[in-house]
Amino acid sequence: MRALLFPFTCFWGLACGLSAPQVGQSLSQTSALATYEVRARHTDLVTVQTVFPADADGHPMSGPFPGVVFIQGGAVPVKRYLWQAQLLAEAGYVVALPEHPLELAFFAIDDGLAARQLLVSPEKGSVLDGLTDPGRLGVAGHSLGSVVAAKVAIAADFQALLFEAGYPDTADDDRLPFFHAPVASFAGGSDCKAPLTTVTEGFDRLTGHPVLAVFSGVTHYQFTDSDAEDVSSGCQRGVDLETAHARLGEGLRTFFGAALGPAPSTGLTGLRAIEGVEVTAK
Amino acid sequence: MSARLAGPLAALFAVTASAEPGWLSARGRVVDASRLELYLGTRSVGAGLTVADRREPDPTGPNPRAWVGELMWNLPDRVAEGRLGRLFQINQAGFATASAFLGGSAIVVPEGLVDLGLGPTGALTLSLGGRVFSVELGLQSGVDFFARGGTRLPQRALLGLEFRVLDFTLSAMARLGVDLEPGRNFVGRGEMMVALGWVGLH
Repeated sequence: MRALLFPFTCFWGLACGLSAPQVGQSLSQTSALATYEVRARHTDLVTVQTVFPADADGHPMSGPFPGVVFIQGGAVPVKRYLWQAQLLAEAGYVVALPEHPLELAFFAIDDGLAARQLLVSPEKGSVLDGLTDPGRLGVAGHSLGSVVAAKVAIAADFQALLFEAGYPDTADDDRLPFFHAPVASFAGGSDCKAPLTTVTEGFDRLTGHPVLAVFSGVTHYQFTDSDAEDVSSGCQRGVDLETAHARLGEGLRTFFGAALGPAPSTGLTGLRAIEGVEVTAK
Repeated sequence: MSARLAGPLAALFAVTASAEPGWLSARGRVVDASRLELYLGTRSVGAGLTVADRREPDPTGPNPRAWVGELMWNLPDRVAEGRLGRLFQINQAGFATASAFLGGSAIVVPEGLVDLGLGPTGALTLSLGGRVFSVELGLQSGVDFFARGGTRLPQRALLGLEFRVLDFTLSAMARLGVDLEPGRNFVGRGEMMVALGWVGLH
């Protein structure tokens, strides 16, 4: 209704302006969610879900914090990755998750750049104002989203890149060597959609000193909030969802903690210490 | 078409669109009468008006021409675009009738990064059928220059069906394409539109 009435209400000075919340919706005692609208590609409005360190009332904690842009997997709604965002927010990160048309990041690759721009320069007085350190930004993506995450990482200034059950587009093989920040690839040992062999082949194409962390028994959709698709398609999981999330969460905190910390690295030692994870480093 | 195929196709066509006109001008057959049309799409609403040139009832005379103006409002993106130009019927009306459109567009972004885009636009449309029922096949292209900087090249392909009963038309159209912009990644565009027209203006 707001969209329909906008030409009239905006003319009279009402309901004019993009959504830039001043308080978040509490997710836990230490994290909150806020939904932004960002103008991108001249004419498009991109909805970006943001999850950030906050008090129990949804007010942001005192920053700046490192930031992470997360690119959704193909046909997987952004809300299914909020568990990752919440986990990172509770560990002191601001996470921005742009919503892509048709849940396909490939249709609008630059939405990830719009989310980065939101973290770097949010509207004054809004909940993200001054919350993110523009010099400590990472980008991650799941499945198809990881393909797009690599393109986003190449196109802008990011200090970390994480593939989750995915790998880079071969079209980016010539450009990725110029991305000099820490790179990690998280693979599920029981992934039926992005098999370990395929993820490993993609990892092998990476140059520099990336790490491949294989989470034993983890399936493709255990990177999201539910592994129901794996169960219904007959994909055998090696660990339950709770265990998978605990290990993946520890991996996320370890990698971004090291990559966006004072002495940037992939956190190789920390990743190797996670139970059920086998790590290969170049 | 099976329901299984129709769902993804409809979704594909409904991807995302900037508030683009180009619906009324996407007709291969330029009717002698003028036309008023209202639009309801998956992302936009709008209206268009065709004012046909007066013609002598001479079958050997020039092919029909018209002025076309359209105004669209994109609901989710809250952007307006207007388009004005000339529509030329290229050949004598028959089973296959083609038209060319040349005009200009103006895009108004009223909030957020307030912006204005201007540029030329063109289209070629082939109409297969007659006055009662026709299939429209179109190609559209243009250049949008934005005041904040940036040049966008929208490229579109259109498929439409039109029924005419007395002075009223009902059209269903779908348009797919991409926006290209130097230095940026492409973005997919698409929209489905239903149009109700009145051809009774004289």
